Amino acid sequence: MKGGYTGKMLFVNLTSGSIEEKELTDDVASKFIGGYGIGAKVLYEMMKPGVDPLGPDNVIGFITGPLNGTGAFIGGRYIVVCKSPVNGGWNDANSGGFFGPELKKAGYDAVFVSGASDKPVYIWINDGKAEIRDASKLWGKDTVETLEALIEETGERRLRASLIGPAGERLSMMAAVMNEEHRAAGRGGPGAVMGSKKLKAVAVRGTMEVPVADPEKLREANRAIREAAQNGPMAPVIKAFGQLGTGMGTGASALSGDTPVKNWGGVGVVDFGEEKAHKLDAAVMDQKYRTKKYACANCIIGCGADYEVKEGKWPLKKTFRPEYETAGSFGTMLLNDNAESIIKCNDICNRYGLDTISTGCTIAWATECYENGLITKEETGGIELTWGNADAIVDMCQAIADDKGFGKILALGSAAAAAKLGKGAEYLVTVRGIELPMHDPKLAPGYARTYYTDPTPGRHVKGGTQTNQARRPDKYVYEGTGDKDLKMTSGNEILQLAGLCLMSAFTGMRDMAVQLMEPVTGMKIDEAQQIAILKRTMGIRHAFNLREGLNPFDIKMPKRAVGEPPQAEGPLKGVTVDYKLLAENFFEAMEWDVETGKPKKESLEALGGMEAVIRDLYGK
Amino acid sequence: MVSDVLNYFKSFADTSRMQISAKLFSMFRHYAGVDQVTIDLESGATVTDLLDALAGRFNNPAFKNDETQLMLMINNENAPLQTVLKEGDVVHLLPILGGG
Repeated sequence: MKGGYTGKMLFVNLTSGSIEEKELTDDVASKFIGGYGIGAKVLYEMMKPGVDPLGPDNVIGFITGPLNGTGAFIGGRYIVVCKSPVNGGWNDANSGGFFGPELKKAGYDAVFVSGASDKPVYIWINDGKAEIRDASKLWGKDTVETLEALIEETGERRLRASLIGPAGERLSMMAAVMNEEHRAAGRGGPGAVMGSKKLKAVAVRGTMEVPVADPEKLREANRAIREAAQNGPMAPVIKAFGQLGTGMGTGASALSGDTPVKNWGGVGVVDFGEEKAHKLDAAVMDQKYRTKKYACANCIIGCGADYEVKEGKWPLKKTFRPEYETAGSFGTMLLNDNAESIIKCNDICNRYGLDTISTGCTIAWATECYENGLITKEETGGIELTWGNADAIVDMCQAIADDKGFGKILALGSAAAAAKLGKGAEYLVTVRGIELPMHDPKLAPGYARTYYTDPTPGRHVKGGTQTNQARRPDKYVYEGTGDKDLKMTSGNEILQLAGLCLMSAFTGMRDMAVQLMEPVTGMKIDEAQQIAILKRTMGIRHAFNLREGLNPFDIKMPKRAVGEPPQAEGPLKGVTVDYKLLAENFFEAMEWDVETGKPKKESLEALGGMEAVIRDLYGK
Repeated sequence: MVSDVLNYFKSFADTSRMQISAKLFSMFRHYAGVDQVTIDLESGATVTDLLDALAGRFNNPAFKNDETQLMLMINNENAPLQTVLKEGDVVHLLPILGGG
């Protein structure tokens, strides 16, 4: 490949202590691009079905995209893949910050870790040299302390690290992989997989130049992105995101019906209301707490911010602005309008390494159970889990982080907690054990298809027709959606595989990933190739689940999320989403058999690179 | 502001005009610097006319451009841009999706 890749992947086995470099071939790179595409190809071929997600045979990968480290705007995201301990299926989660570009500059496109260590370790990669180091002194430290300790031990002030906090060490099913104090590859329990391997961190420092196929054309592409962001029709939105962050619309979106309310059982305009919505508006919170702007690598939007809470119950010297998903999970989902409690919960999750969506939504589930008498004050250790009780929310979040008292049960996540307690299943809003994120499919039905059938189910970043769908008059027409879904999802897939942030879509610039991929890698990717890439990278993730016995059509969609029964009032009243038809349409467009769930053999053969999948699904 | 007040009182005698209350959230509140505004419009005006008026009032294209992720509710129900407004309507300006 002319650029974008180092062509090298690192394989570390923590049981044997072996470290091996392998080539990332041009063939694999061009067919699977990067991120979870390459991750799925590697894990599918390395792992056998049925392995314990928290055992040594699970493999966790930290994978860059080809745009990482090249200077391509908004191209700083990397992806963590593994078999999920939550549901035994495929898992990928992505994160921004600076880790991905730094790993690339340190000489590797990806690091895959198998086996398990007897004692805590970390992997140190410094300009092409990798070693396994003792992490006994790091074990027990929170994410901020761990980063500081790594810097002190290595003497590399500018290192970046992908690491876990105490939640991952304790194998919480909600444990995230964190980087730079507040960036999280959060979902599906990847932090617990690191913890099970006694892997505290992957720390990297790189000063090598990442090759770029055509630097001048990359500069031109970057100029076009900047022009779209600053002067295009979406400029006001991009500017607002840069100033206010993703949380700019949390309260407002509760009113529109986008952000779920009261564990998905409420109606925003009725149960949350305008006054509370205003309190969660980032424009309001920023006036009081914002100290500094934060931007990930090569990002011209910069949607993050440092916060400081000077007084009150939960003062914090340096913390970070809660993202939209966090403000929804700890705010609207709990009828909580206390901004400082949300900032505190965000801080707890960041420091202990917890996924804010699952943690907040698990507390919302427990609160509904408590309000309905299924969980008692005795069980919670005196914490009164009533709607909007900010003190109780912070106390329970801390209990989950500390893995103490009732928090020990909730640290399992809501679905596993319900199973352990033997009650509360009727209030779960989960897909295959994962709490749904903060976008209601009744407003944008495309989410129902991705929550239901993406091989990484229950996520809001997996393509689909939902982009700009909320206001479209035809959004509740469920027939004939397959081709559009296929096209839009393929665009999203290439974006994520390339290492772009999903926020890049808000620039309104079409096919940004493709326009950057050509100058960076030399690869021209047309629409047909994009769809072929999707069929490979989604198909291999899907096949990973199928060989584990997991078929998306076996998933029971949470009824509240799809309007069964429909809401009686508010902007989404009367809406029921035909998610099954949306899924069938998509399966047909993907050339997946609707009855068996299998990708069709002739389609797999035509794609290339899917030999292992064909062997598993159809024999030799 | 004086003209707003005059228009408001004139509207009681003038059935060719109407007063529409616009509630601003998220980036709309950020750009306007206020969370609510009353706009005087001709009877029969649509939501698009309201947005044009807001764009003029606050001198910001965020209110006018169709591509700015705008979500509208009229009296707490979703509404398209073509909706004809009537006296006393309350219009919420919201982002089309929260992000992140």
